[in-house]
Amino acid sequence: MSQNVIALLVIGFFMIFPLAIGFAARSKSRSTAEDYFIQSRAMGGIAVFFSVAATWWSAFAFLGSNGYFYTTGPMYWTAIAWNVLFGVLYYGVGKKIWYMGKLNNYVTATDFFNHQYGSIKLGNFVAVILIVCTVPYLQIQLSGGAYLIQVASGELIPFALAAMLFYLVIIIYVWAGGIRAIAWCDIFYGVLLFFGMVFAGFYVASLVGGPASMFHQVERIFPGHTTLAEGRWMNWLAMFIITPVGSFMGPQLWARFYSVKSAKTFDIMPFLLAAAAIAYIGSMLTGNAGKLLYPDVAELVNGNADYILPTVLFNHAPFVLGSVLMACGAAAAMSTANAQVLALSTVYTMDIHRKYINKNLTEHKLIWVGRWALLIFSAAAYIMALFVPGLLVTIGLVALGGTAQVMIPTCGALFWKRSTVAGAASGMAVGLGLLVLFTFSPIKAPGPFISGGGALFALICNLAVFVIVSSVTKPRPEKLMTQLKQQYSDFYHKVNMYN
Amino acid sequence: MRPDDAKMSGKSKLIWILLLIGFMCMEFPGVLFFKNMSEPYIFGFPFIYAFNLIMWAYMVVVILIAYLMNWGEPVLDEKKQGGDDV
Repeated sequence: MSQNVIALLVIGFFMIFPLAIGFAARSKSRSTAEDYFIQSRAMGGIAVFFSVAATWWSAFAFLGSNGYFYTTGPMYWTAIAWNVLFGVLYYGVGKKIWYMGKLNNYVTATDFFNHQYGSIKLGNFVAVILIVCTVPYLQIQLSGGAYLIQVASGELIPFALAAMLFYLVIIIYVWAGGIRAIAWCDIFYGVLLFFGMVFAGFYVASLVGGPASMFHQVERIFPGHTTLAEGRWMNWLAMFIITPVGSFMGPQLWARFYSVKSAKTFDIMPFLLAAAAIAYIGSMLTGNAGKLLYPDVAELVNGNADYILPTVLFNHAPFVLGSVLMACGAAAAMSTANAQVLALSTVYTMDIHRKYINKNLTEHKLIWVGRWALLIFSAAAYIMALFVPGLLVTIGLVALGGTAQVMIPTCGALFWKRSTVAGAASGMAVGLGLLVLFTFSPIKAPGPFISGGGALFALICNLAVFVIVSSVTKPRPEKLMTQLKQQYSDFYHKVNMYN
Repeated sequence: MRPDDAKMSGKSKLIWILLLIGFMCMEFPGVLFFKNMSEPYIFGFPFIYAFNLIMWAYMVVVILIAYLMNWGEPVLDEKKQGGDDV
């Protein structure tokens, strides 16, 4: 059997199998918007774990991480810590959001802000932030996934067609089964992603004599590549905070708070997510071994460090193995993209269309609006993937820096009675303004933040403004606070939590 | 917004302190105090990789213990939990 036929069979399997899962999920669906967008708040523990892990790990993790280890040495190793932080946030913050969502029928992040702060305008502000910052992150999934399909096919499928196929598959199964189809597919993607990352790392390291020998060679040939570069500690720290916080506030994760059936899932998730972080050992090995095999980035496909793994597999691995591993990488991208595209469509349908365009839509029609929104957001990401180039991690960090700003008013609502609408809005405005300034102008963050800490500086300023403005502005209405205090009291007393 | 009659337990505070220590160890010593150190190699990994790998194992153990201890929170009587409608 020729290599091209094998490649097409591998890709065909990775395309068709999720479609089959999606249509199986459809048979369990109910015709309500709540079921389509958050699975009627009844997602089981296994599906939640794989769906959260696979959504959280993306092309950024599978490809971008290798590129970062390749270019900057251990900088990305802070990822093993941020995965633990993400898990702890899921318990400490996510569980409260879930409980409040269950009591008050929230479906989106906007619903949370509308109710907790008693302000529609604040909710709309958050909706805009989440949409604007999620689309670029969606774009990098498409770019990464499409490129892997292109390479896995032995260049039979060009990038533009690969990107089209990538989205076609996602749109079909999300269209059919909504978040249930995504969660079921994510079990498949999650397993592939975890084992793909680990196996690829050890395989690539074996090409240069195994991990121990590899690191001694790296240290000898590239002095300084096994230690953190001078003055980069801020970048290390900023990534540790911004990446998990930004991902955690993405609309796709909000859907994964509300969808959960049992509080017990939140209790065990930090352990599962932290343990799964060991998969990053694969990226660490791939990036470092790749440095030995291809010292010059110009030798890599497209001259792009993100493509160190495809380059190594394409040139050194048996064709079938390379195709399977690259399909695992495409799974990483698909598992994030599917969640993002549905989350964006949810925000548009529930927060914009239902409130401002047509208030009298039936449940059935709401689902259809969501489906058409899927197509539009996918098309936007597709166009950006074709025309906006850039390193996956770089684009990803800017987008995550934006969504991370939403964390301050979220925690304010959950933990601080004195939080106000003015504090939340002004804090986020300052944080986002600074982020835009540092990203799109020659002005750089001050002091130590200049070294990759712009988003963290923006987050700290957001917090400071939030606290100061909340302290001097009118508190939330007494009636609302009385209701919320009772609900938070019920949370801490676990009323109707574990039944 | 924790109510006054549901204060955090001592066990819960201990878990959060142990987690905080773990995060600080993962983020600060390797980059501030042991910078530019490849040696000693541990498990075949340069120091910064090995150090954070050990701290990761510590965090996983602390989180597992936290889970087994219900995150330090007292377990309420199940009959009472379902007793009041919200």
